[in-house]
Amino acid sequence: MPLPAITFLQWLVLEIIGGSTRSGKYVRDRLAERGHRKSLPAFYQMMSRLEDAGFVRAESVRATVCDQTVTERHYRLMGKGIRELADVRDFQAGLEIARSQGRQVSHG
Amino acid sequence: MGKAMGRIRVWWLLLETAYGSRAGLCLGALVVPVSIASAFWVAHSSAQNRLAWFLVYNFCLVSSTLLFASKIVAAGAIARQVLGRSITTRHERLYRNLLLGNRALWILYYAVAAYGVAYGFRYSPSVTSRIFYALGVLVIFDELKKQGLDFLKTASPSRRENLSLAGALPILSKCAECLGLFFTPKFREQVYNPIVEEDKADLILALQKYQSRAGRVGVFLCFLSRFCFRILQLVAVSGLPKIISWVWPFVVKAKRD
Repeated sequence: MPLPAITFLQWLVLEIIGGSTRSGKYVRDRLAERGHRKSLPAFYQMMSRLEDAGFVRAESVRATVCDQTVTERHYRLMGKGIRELADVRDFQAGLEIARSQGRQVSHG
Repeated sequence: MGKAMGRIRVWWLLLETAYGSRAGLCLGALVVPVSIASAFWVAHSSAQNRLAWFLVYNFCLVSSTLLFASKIVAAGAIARQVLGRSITTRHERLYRNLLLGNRALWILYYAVAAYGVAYGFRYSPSVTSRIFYALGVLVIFDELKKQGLDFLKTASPSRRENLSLAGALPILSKCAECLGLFFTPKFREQVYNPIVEEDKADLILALQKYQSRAGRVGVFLCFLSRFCFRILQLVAVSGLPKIISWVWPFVVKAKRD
């Protein structure tokens, strides 16, 4: 069972983005809900690294706030990101199986 | 004695570089108040006057930035030269010509003015259309509009159209734009711009919420401090390790000596 190539936080970000396109603000809010508060620069630096590694793809989308135009950065998963996400899920499933087997052995 | 004289000459040259000629000094002294005054005029004047003030503001802002940036670069070059080996008359003449005597610098000003005009047109589509109507050029645009090519609408909506938000928003946006130039284009696109835009969205919402004058001043000050902290955070995220790795050998060397 090989170790995943991404960190827990990176996995969490990929998990939040999932199959749809999400804005940076949305991802940051969901991360904060799960107890991972990050400053804006630290968050976008992390997203930049994910982007460079080819896990996600970003695009700038124009949005309107009170009749004023602002640009939001939207992210979606790339093939590599989807594969990595699947690998981590496999790893977690394997870990769960190993844990349950360990429990059974200790009970037996 | 000779060494001391050389140092005095270098300091004199640095001062001269920083202030330029007497005319340059007067221009520099004028540029700052004029740009601040025109920034306020841009925010508060009527639509007809806004473009003119906006152009003045942009011209002053950009030209002064370029002027002082070029002076800083030259001062750095002189300082490097001095640290490396003593400054020669040839170098002195070169820097003098580059900064004080070169008429080619005025080409830069004309380029900046052209940029200011284009920038003003971009952010004031209503004024632009009026000018085009006056010039009779808009007939062509009407024809293009019929064909589904609306040139004037492709310009982003003016930030100054909504007077209720004027004041804090343009000033902070300009500061953010200028500071963004310190970062690489890639960093600007991936990290800096999204941060600025998120803060801008928050600022718009805050300004919408607090409509009174005192409230606006409060919001402006809060966001100004937030912006400063953002810059510090950005430096911490992007540049701090690089700065430390650059400075650390000097510190170690100084300690050893």
